[in-house]
Order: sequence, then C-alpha cells, then structure tokens
Amino acid sequence: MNNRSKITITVVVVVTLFFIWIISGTQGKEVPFLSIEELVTGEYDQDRFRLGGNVQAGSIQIAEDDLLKVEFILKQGESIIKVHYYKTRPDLFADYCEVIVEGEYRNNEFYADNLMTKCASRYEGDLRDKNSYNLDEI
Amino acid sequence: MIHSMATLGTVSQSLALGFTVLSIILIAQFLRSGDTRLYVSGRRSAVIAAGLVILSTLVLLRELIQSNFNLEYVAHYTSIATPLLYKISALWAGQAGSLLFWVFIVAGYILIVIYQNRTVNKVMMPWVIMILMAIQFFFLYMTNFITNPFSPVEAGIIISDGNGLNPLLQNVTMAIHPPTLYLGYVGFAIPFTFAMAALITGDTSATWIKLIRRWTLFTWLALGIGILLGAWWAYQELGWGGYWAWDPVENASLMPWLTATAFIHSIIIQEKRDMLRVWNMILIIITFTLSIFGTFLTRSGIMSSVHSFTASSLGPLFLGFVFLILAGSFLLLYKRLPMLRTKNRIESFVSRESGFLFNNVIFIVMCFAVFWGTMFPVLTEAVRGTKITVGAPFFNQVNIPIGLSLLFLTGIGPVLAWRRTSKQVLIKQFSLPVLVSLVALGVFILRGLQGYVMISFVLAVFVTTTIVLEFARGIAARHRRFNESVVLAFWQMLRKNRHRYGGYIVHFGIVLMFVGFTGKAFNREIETAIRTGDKFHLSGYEFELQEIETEERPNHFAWIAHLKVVKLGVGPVTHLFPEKRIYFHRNPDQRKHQPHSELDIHTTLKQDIYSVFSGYDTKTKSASFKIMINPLVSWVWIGSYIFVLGTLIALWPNRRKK
Amino acid sequence: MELLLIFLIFISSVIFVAQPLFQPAVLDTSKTKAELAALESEKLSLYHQIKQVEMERDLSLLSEEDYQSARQRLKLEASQVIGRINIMKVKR
Repeated sequence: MNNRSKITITVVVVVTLFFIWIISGTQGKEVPFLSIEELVTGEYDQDRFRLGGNVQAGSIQIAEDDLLKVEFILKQGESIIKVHYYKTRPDLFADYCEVIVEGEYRNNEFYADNLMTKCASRYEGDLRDKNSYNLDEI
Repeated sequence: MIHSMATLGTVSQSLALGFTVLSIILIAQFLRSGDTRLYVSGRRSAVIAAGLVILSTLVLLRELIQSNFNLEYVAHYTSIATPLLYKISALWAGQAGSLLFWVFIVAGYILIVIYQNRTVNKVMMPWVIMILMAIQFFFLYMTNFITNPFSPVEAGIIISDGNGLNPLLQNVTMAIHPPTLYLGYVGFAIPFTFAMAALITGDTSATWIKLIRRWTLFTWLALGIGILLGAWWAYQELGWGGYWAWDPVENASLMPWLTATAFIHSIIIQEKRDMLRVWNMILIIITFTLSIFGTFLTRSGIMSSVHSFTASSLGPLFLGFVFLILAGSFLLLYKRLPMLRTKNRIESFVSRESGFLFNNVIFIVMCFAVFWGTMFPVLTEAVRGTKITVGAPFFNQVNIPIGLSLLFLTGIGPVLAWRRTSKQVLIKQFSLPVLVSLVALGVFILRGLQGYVMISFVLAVFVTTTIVLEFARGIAARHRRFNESVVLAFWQMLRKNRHRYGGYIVHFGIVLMFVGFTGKAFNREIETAIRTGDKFHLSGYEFELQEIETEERPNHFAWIAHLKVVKLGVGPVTHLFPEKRIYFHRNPDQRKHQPHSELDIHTTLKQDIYSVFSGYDTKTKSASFKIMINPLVSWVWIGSYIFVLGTLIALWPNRRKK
Repeated sequence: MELLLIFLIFISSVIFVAQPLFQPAVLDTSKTKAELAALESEKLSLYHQIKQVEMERDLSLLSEEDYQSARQRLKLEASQVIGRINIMKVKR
C-alpha cells in the first residue's frame, strides 16, 4: 500500500471515529425544550426538561429563612406551573421577566437547577410603554 | 433645539444603495466590453457608495450623541444620562444600528482594498469590487428597507428621555467587544472575495493567497480578540463564575474562527508546496458563510440566548443569503475543478504536510462538534418534532479529546520536515521533549492527577519543550552561521522569520490557555445566605462577613459587603468587596429598579477567589453570596496576551526596501 | 440647509462617477510602472524564500537534496524575474 492511500485511510478513520464520538455525545445529555402545556399533559421517559415562559407578576416568593430559596409561577400563554429554585438568581430575574428554566418535573411542580433570564422588556421595549419611556402624548 | 440631520442619514443610506447597484452595472459592462472608462467609473461609484455608507453611519452616531429621541433607535438605546462612551457604543447595541455598523466596516474595508490595489491586480480587481458590492448590497438592502436605524418614532409621541443602555452593557469591554468581533466577521469577506475572483479569472495559483494572507491573519486576530473579550467580560461581569457557556451566539463566533484557523494553516502548504488548492477554497467559503451565519444567529432570534435580539423578519433573508453564497461559490468551484488539480502529493506520513492535514481535519471536526450541538434543537425539532437541547456538558465532553489532539499536533506538526522526516531527524527533534514529558508525567501521577487533566498538563509540557527547543535550535543555527551573540541571533531570527516564530509564540499562548481551561476541573463553589459576623468555609479558606456598608453614587445605590478571607492554618489572604447595586434607585416605580451584582475577584497565578454578592434582604439582614475558587484562570488571560503578541509579530509588515 | 447639503453631495457624486465616461479612451500609462513594481516585489519574495529554505535546512526540517532542488528552482525563477525586469527597464 502506498503512502497516499495510507494517509487517506487514516484521515477517513479519524474523521469517522470523531464523527461517531460527536453524534453519540448527545446521549444522556438531551434535555427536551417543551411548552408548559406539553409537559403537564404529556408522558415522558426522562425527568429533565427545559421550559420557557414569563414570571407571573407578584408570584415570586423568597423564603424567610434562606434568601437563596425561591418559588414562582411560570406562565406561558394560558398555562402555568409552579417552579422551585434554590440557587443564586440572575440580577434580571423579576416580575414579567422572560426566563428559561432547566430541571426536574415532579408531582406537577418544577424543580429548576438552572435559570436563565432574557429580560428584554426594558431594553427592547415597546415605544408606547409608559414604564420604559418618558412620553408626552400630543 | 438641535437641528436633526436624520434626513441626511436616510438619504445617504439610500444613495449608497443606488451607487452600489450602479457600480455593479458599470463594472459588469466593463467586463463585457473591455472599455476601461467603464471600470474607472464603476470603481469611483464603489468609492462613493462606501463613502456614503460611512457618512450615514456618522450621522447616526451624531444623532445618538445629541440624543435625538425623534429617532426610534436613539430612544431605544440611549437616554440623556447615558455616558458619552455608551452613547457611541449604542451604535452597535441594537439590531438596526449594528447592521448599519456591519456595512460601515464592509465599506471601510472596500476603500482599503481599492486603495491597496489601485495599480496592481488589474485582472482580479473588477471582480473583487463587484463581489464586495454585492455583499454590501445585501446589507444595505436590509438597513434601507427592513430595519432602518433612521426610522422616526410613531407620529403622536414625543419622547423626552430614552430608556438608556442596559447597565450590564455599560462596561468598557462590552463597548469594544462587538466592534472587534465585527471586524473579524466582516473581514472574512475580503479573502472570500479574492478567492472567488481567482476562481472566476482562472488564476488558480497561489497569487490570491499571497494577497490575502495578511488580511486573513488580521481578521482572524480581530475575531479571536473579540471572542476573548466576550469571555473576559462574562467572567468579570456576569457573575456565574465562568468565561465560556457554549451559548449559541458564542458558538457562532467560535465556528468561523476554527475554520479560519484551519485556513491560515493550510494556505502555508499551498504557498510552499502548491497543494490543497481545492481544500483552501472550501475552507474560505465555509469560513465566510459561517461568519454570515453567525450574524444571522445573533440577529434572527431563532436561538434563545442571552445575546439574541427579539425575533425579527431578518431570518429568512439571512438564510437565503447564506444559501446563495454557498450555492454560488460551490458551483463556481465545481466548474473550475479541472484547473485546480496539482501534481504534488503528500509523500509521507511523517511530514509537515501530513501534520498540517491532520490539524485541518481536526479543526473541521471541532467546528462540526460545535455546529452539531448548537443546531441540535433546530435539527431535532425538524426531525422528531420536539426541540431537544444539549448544554455545556455535551460540548465539554465532546470537545476535550478533540482539543487535546489539536494540542498534541501543535507540538509535533511544526517540527516535522517537509515531504518526509527521516528517523534520525525524528529522534533528534523529539527525544528531549518526550523525555521531559515522561518526567512530567511521573511527577503528575505522584501528585495524584489522572484522566484528561493529566493528559492536558503532560501535553502542555511537551508542546512547550518543543517550542523552546525550536527557538534554541534557531538561535544556535544563526550563531553558527553568522557568529551572532545569543540576543542578537534571537532578535534577527524573529525579525527574519516572523511567520514561523510568531506562530510558535501563538502556539505557546494557546498552551497556556489550555492550562487555564484545565483548571476548570478543580473549580469549587458554595452558595450561602448569612448575616454580618457569620463565617463559612470553602476548600481550605474561611470567609467572614464583617460588615455591609451602604453608599449612594450618582446613578445607583450600593450595598458593599466586606468579606475577610483567611486561609486556614496560614493566615489572612485578602479582603473582598463584592457589591449589590440598584440602578435607577431614585425612580418611585419599583419596576424601573435594576439590580446588579458587581463582583470582586482576588486573582493570583494559582487561582481566583471569585465572590458575588447575590442578594440582600434589608428586613432580615440576610445576605446571600456565591463564592468560587477557580484555579488557573489567569493563565487563560496570560495566554490570550501572548496569542495576540505572537499574531502581531507575524502580522508586522516587512520593511520596505528602498 | 440639510436639503441643500444632500443635493450638493448627490450632484458632486454623480459628476465624479460620470466624469471618466466623457474622457477619450486612453491607454493606461501606469500599466508598465505597476508591472515593474509587481515584478520587484516578486523578486524580493523569491529572495526571501531562498533565505527561508536555507533556514529550514539549518533546522534540519529540509533534507539536503530537497534543499538543493528547491534552491535551484527558486534561483531559476529569480533569474527569470530579474531578466524580465531588465527588459522592461531597457524598453523605458
């Protein structure tokens, strides 16, 4: 066998191995991104999920004895779900805020261990939103 | 009342679009008829178009600085109180402005390219200008018709103050991170354009590579710095204690950087041995496409990410543009395939060429891994109907062995000889590095390291040794030939072979970064809620909350925690002062209050002690903290400086001979 | 004011772009000069490459026979370029 085909074969083998490695790498790390409705009504094998929605106004309850412990209602359209979170919260976490939570679903409640905020309301707000701007209607 | 120049901005933006089209038409006519007057005229039209783009950007900048809230964009991203620097950076803070800023950079690059090639490359240049104009046309079309930064506020509303820039973004790093990233993204348009022009004109030699090598290096550096600044900002500001989260937008900037890294390696082979012509074309096409795709990912909102802007109508347009580029350039490449055949082949497994080949293959594999994980939600939604995400654990698991193979190649590739490496040379080059690595391996095993961590450290030692040896050999060779002193020989060697030794320095920077990345394996963290006087422990350190001070500053209110850090059994180490701030605290509307955690880090070469004051309850006086011990993080930043230094050495222009 | 400015920008741009079209078609005189400059830079680049292969041989990254053949090839190319430069200089 000449050098050229040896090299070609090695490249193909290396690429194939890495390819399999990458494709199989997602196993056990897959987290379905569901809507609240899908989560509550569906049947799923695993117990880790990702949810998106907005924080229902006035629903944030921080535990008296532990500042890190929080419960809130996540709202997406008409569906709601209670979320527990026991970790440092991002600064932008607040009422109405758009959040993505990742965690486990048990007994119709969601236990998140990861919370990401995308609080766009203030900085990508609607121009007619009085809360964001100083407006004078003509 | 300041006079608004917004009309000038709008008009010059539209005129720019007109002259862009005119330029394309004139140059196309020149290419058909050969009448050089048409070309001169078309080139002038391109210059005007670029100038008008720059003018309209300057007008937008002026409106931002003057706080003309009649423009929707200005009202969105600035307020009267916004400091000047962030009024300027608002230019690229939002969607419409950042797209205009994109074209602004394209326009600047076009002017430079036209100037550099005003008398040379007569055959390629018409095509180059035409393709660049087509790219400019696409972005100008969007800023003119889809997201116009000059569009006025709805009739019937007067805004007396805008809503200002997010305090998170009010940070010098964050002000310069996007433009550096853009310099990189946009810059790949130039090598891409020259590659296409080379294909069209049939000049498939290495000429185009000589023309774009420095451009590519500069662009690659800018993108690299942009990525690193983003990482540094995330680490210093965001308070989750890391610098890389495998967020879709971060990945979008990493992918073109990876393929560009492959490209700057493989063009060396084409220059030296006239091989891999087709491969280089493919690499630059992919790199440019990925940089457009990166802009698309950021702008389209198809990915949920901290970076993404609200969903917009730009998505399909961008995707269409990406497909157009891919289809067009690959069709062209296919048609020119017969011209791209070369007679040179890789002759041996153990050669510089094959080192480069494997380096390229692995860079592409890594890019694919990042792509696969980033697009996984989109792909699974299309195939299975459910969006399935894979987070950082996937990327870390998959990329560690790939990254380590690259590190390994960094050590062996550069010291292999061209064509074939004889056994004697191989032994001569590698006996010392292998010996040193074996000793290091023994030491690491004795210290209880294992798995990837051990491999990574051993490889770092191996690569560093080969680099040091290369410098030593180079100096020795000069010393023998020219009888120069060691210092002079070192200086002359750097000066006369800037690419080679600049490259080694970059490699060394990368080694240090890998050392820093590896430190992540030892991260420790604790989250706790305590009161003044309480203590807590984390991996051999004791933290005591001594007091919480309050301070009112011009645009925010701050609680400042005093944390005393003591190393158990050794003594006090430092005091940390993380802050909890409330911006817009004077506003009676609670909803306008914006909390922000200003963290404090105690940095040493060994580790960072990272503290976040995450919450404070004024009623119960309970304060919550997140403390992390992050070993070796500073090596990532030290490596970054060395990476930049090495690239600058390689980029430094040759002194002109009189 | 602003409209006047816009008008002026537009008119001067159009004149600037259209002007070459009304010139008589002339032969480009800068051509030979540009070619000469290109050849000069090619010559320098070839010199540089010769230095590079010397360096690589010194670092034993290039075998002696490869070094000799690469050097021969580069020298030949350089002499051709120098020849072309001389011809052009004589013509001028």
